[in-house]
Amino acid sequence: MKPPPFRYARPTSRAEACTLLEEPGARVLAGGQSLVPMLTARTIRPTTLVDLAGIEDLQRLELDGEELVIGAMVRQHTVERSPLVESTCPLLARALAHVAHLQVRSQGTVVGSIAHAEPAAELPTVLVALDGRVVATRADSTRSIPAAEFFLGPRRTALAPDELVVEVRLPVGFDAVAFVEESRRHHDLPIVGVAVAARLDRSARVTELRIAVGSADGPRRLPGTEQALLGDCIDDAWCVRGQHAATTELQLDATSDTHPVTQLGEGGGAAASAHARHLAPVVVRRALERLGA
Amino acid sequence: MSVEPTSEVQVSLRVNGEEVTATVPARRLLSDLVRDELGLTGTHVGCEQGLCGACTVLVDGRPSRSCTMLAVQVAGAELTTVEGLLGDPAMASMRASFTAHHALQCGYCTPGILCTLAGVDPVDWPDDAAVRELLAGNICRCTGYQHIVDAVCAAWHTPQPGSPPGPGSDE
Repeated sequence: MKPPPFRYARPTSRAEACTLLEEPGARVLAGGQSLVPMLTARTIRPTTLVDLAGIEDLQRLELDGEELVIGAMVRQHTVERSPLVESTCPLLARALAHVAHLQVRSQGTVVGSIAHAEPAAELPTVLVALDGRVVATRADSTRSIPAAEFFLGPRRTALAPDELVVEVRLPVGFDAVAFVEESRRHHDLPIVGVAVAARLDRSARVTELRIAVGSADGPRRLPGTEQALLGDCIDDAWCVRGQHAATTELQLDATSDTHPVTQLGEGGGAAASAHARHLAPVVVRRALERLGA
Repeated sequence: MSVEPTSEVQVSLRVNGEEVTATVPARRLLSDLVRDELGLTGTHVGCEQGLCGACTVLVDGRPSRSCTMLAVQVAGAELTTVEGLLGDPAMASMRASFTAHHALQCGYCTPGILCTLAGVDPVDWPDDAAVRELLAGNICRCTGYQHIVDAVCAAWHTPQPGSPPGPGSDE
C-alpha cells in the first residue's frame, strides 16, 4: 500500500521540532527505515511527520570524556565506517554489520533504531550491553535516560510523545568486544543477538564484563553470568562456564515473574520466547569465544 | 520563525546531474517520485517493503531503497538512478560483463543491483564471498545469483582487455 495522508514539517532547530511534536499524533522522521515501511503497511497513521534532517546540530559523532556521543541524525553507514568508532567503541561497528542491509544503513540512523526499540534488534542490545544513555529533550528540559530504564516492551520506550531524542551516549574503553547473532536468514532481525564487552587487567583477567541478550522479549543483561565469570582469563573452559551460567540464569527468569519484560507477555508468544531462551546460551558462548579471538 | 506543517511539499534536488523541482504530497514515496513525477522507469518496485532491493537508487552516492524513503527526504540531495549510470565507463564495463556472463533474465532486479554496485568501492569487495555479501540486499528470482557474482568478479577482479565470451553466447 502507499502511506496514508499526513502533514510534513522540516524544522531547523530542536526547539521548533519539540513544539511540532506537541501535536497529538506527531512523529519524528529520522532515517525513515523503520518508519516508512510502517507507513506503507499503514500500521501507523501519524498526523504530522517532523523531519529532523534540517536540524544541523544533530550530527555529532565524537568523544566526550569517557562517552562516545552519537547525534540523532548520524547515519548507520557513517558510524560503521568511522575510525573513531572503531577505536573507541568497536562493539557498535561489530553490531552494525548485522543490521538490515547496506542500503538500509545508508539512510537509517543509530539513534532512530534505538528509539524505534524493536525488541530483538542489534542496536538496542548494544545500548543495554554498554549501559549507555539516551538524551532526550522536550519544551525547556533535557534528561538522560539510562539503558536499563529505556526499553519498556516491543517498540515502547520511556519517551514521552513530545520528547525528542537528540543523542545517545555510549561508554568507551572496553578491551575486548564481540557481537554474535542467530537469525533465520542472514541479515534478518535476530532470533537471539548477543553483545559482550570486557575490560581486562595486565594479567589478562576479566575485571569487568557486560553481556546483553536481545530477543523478541527485549534486550537484557545477564548479571548472574557476568558475575560468575569475573576474575578469570578468557579460555575455552571459561566460555563453556558462561554458557552454563546463562542457561541457569535464563531458565530461572523464565519461571519467575520478576523480570519486567517477560511479565508483559508480548513479543512473539511463549514458543518464540522458549526458542530464544534455548538458543541464547549457545550464542552467549560463541560471543565469549569471539572475545578471546 | 516557526514552521507550519503542510500536506503538499515542494522538493528540489539534482537527479542524474540535472536540477529538478516537483510539488508532491508529503506521503509520496521516493520510488513513485522517480517513476511517476520524473518518468524514470528504470527504477523498479518489487516488494515496496524495503526487502527486495529492486528499487535501489543512489542518494548522495549511497545505495538506498527508494521505496523506504519519502520524496521529501531527498530535498537538496544528489539522486542517481540507473539511467544516470549510462555515462560512467566503469558501469559500461559492468553492463558488458553482465551480458557476457548472462547475469540477467527478466532484468527486474538488475537496475537495483547496478545501483548498489555503482555506490561502492570495488576495493572493499575483493572476492566472491564479499560480492555475495554486498548483494545480500538485492533479491533475484531468475538467475540463482551465480552469474551475477561471476559478472561482478570478472568486471572488478580480473583485468580484462576485452570481455570474455560467457557460456551460451555465440559470437
